[in-house]
Amino acid sequence: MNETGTTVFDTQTVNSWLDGMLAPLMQLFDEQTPIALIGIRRGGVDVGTHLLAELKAQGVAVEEELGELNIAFYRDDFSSVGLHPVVGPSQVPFDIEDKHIVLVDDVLGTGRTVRAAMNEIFDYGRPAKITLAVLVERQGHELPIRADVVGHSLDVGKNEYIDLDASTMQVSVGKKS
Amino acid sequence: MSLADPQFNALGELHHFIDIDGLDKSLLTQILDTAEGFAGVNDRTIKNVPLLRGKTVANLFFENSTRTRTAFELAAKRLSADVLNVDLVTSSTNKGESLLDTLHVLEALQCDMFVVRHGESGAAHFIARHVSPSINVINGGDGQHSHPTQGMLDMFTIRRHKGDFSNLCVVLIGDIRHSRVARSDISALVKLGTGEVRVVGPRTLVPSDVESLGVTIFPTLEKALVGADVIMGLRLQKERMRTATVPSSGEFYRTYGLSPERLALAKPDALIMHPGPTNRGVEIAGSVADGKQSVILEQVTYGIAVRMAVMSIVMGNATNLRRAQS
Amino acid sequence: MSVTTEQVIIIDRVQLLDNDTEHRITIRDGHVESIVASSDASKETGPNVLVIDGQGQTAVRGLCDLYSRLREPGLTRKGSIATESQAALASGFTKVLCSPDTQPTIDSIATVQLIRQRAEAAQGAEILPIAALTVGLAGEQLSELATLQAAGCPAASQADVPVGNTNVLYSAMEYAASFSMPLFMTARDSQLGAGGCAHAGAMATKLGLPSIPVAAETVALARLLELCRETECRLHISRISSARSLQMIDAAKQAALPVTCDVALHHLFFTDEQLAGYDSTFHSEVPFRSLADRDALREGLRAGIIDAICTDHAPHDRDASLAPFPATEPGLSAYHWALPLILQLPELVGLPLNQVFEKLSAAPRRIIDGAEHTGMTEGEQADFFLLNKDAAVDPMKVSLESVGTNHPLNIHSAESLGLSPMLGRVSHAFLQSRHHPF
Repeated sequence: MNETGTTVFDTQTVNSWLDGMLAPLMQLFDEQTPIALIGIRRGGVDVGTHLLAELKAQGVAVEEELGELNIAFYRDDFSSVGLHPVVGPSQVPFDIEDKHIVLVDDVLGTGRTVRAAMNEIFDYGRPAKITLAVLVERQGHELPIRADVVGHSLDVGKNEYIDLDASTMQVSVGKKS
Repeated sequence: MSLADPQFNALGELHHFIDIDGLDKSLLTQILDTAEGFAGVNDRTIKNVPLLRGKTVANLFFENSTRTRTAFELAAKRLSADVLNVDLVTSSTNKGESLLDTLHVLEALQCDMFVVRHGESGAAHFIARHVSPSINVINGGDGQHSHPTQGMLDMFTIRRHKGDFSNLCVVLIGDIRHSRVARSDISALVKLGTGEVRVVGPRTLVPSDVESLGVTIFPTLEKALVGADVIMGLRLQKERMRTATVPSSGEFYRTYGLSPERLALAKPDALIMHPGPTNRGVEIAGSVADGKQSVILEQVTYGIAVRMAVMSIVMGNATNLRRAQS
Repeated sequence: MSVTTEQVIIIDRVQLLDNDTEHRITIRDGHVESIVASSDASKETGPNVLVIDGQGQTAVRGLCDLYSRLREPGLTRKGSIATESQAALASGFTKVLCSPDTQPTIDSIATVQLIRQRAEAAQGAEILPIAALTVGLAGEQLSELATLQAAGCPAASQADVPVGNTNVLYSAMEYAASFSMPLFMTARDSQLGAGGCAHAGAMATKLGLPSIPVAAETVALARLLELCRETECRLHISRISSARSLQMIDAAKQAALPVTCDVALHHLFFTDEQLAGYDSTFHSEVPFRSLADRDALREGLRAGIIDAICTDHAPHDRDASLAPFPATEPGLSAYHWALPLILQLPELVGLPLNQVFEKLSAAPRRIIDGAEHTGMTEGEQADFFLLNKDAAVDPMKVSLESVGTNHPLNIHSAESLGLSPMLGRVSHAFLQSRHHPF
């Protein structure tokens, strides 16, 4: 912990979490079902990019490009907080029908983001299976949604944030201002 | 000195979308960026999102326009809102019932948004000033004043093809005087920092004080087209032909019609735009309207995403306001 | 409003417009008995003597409004002779010429008599009906001008309705000239600018409002001036709005045509720029024009090309403004704010206050009957008011005096309109042997 009360997990640590996700993830694949990765903007796209590269390096047959979801139009809090800033449109450059979709996010907290993402995925088609892979899992689940693959679990309170810096692949945890 | 802009709520956020004049560049950019998100939705097989589920959008059309009404209806439906089409052209408002009485009835029916098309300039301002604060108003065209969603969908189309506005030369041809589309386009182009905005047409349709809007008047179409990146035709209303305004549609085409020969004077990749419906052989040659540089149908398509963006932004802001006030 | 009945009224320590030493004005039986320096003589006392302390106040000759709408008969939801004549008096106007655009129009003896009876009962400002030049203002058949003149109409007018047929206009001017009846004409072409609701300029273009070019006024003015030259009719141009019109009227006066003109008070203040945001309180039948036009009107007033100032008072009911701008009914309800605006003219126009008031009292009276104003002359009937220049206008009183609240100052602060604070109130008015304390 540094002087501002922020805990930083360095690049090496975070990369070890990422690497640790690969084996359990690959165990979930079966040979018959084609695999595709979809990241939730923005953090999930960074984690997804990393995972996709590693899977390809290991020779796993997987959709060439990462799908990206912007779940602003599916959030359940429009009637309480309005429209969230649109951080680039959703792009799913492949057919979802009958695929094994690995849905990737940086942090799993309440589960509401994942709920929204799954709703959106179903508007693209009917996947054979969805697996949830997250870099960090925290407390505070509000929906019956659990990750299938977790890089690391952190015991942080409601008033703390977890932030992934994609440029350095560092994770910081601190008090919400 | 003048009345406060009714478009913004107590938090300074966009509450009604009435007029591009009064909005700043960052807000216009936010609308365009949000529309990009919705454009992706419209490319899917399932084209709706649940954003405005449970909201009711009333299309109040005091003036006929199947095209605009359909575009707004589709945009609202793709946001999962319920849509009420109220045809007021033939209804009681033309029989002495006041405009406000009509609005209050629709408020009592608990609509959340009014999309208004009206023949009088300033009608949308008037309605925005008098509706209950819980209602968002979107201007679907008021008199000869403003048609801001058309303006924004034109900007969206230009940005998709040309990217940055600062180096663009845009030419508007024809009836600037009576055109709400021209006013909204000019306002948006100027605010987005367009390099040069030219207008051209007979002086009966291009009054000299349009230069105060930030455009340059060109004497002939030929001169105006040289170096043009974007060419926007405007609809010449039938009632303006064969009058003291324009002697005939034939003469208009001979002097200001966008023919293939004239098009060759513009840059080779110049976009051809028109708010529709086009009068072929009057404002534009059929071959130009259907040619490879024409994006006239793209404008229609993008109109959905742009209207979805505007609707969801103002309704989202209404949410923010309610939260702030509670 | 009460009317006092004392036989003798002494107003002590009051100032005059052109003389700020303290004076004592004595009124006996409604007539001005004497005007002397306060220090000169001992004060009369007695049971029938009312003494008014005039300290800090100024006695001003009663104002005469050459163009006002009282809305009666026919449009009494907007105003009535009772309400509007009281509103006029509360603003210092003791004589008001009312527009013939009532329903029915003032084209018959019956209507004239009705107006005069109601005005007498109202005990407000004196009301003089302007005759409709043509029957129903339709621009076709002449009204019985000689009869209407004899019944008390000092002038004839077409109100805001242009005469399209030049033949009719020519005849009307010749006919009016036969009886030396002045014609009050507003210069407005019947077609050019028809349907317009704003000055043809950058603001109308920006707002997409149907517009009225300056030429709609000057074309009509040229026609009127040429017909005046031929017919030698006494022509008064009512409510000019543009710099070019001033030049034309100046030239006509140089050529010794029997022409006079007035400007509406609000045209000396407002411009088309104030329509921004579709502010319908600035929707005027004679449109507010450019800043250059407004400044030219001020200069025209200073230079004497403009003979008089009228109020163009046009009260409306609330519903009249509850519509999109082009569909709102034009006009400003002028009386409530008239006096404070008038008091700002000396600084804006460059005329001393007594000369500004001259444009509102003596000059208009000369235009209608050629007579000098005698309301503050010893031996004549009292016709003047006491002005408290520093008293603020009470916004709450608007609806009590006039039915109309359609005026920019009812929704904008003076400061936001670039004006000084709205000061100036009438404390007492004396006319027709009556005394009105306010």
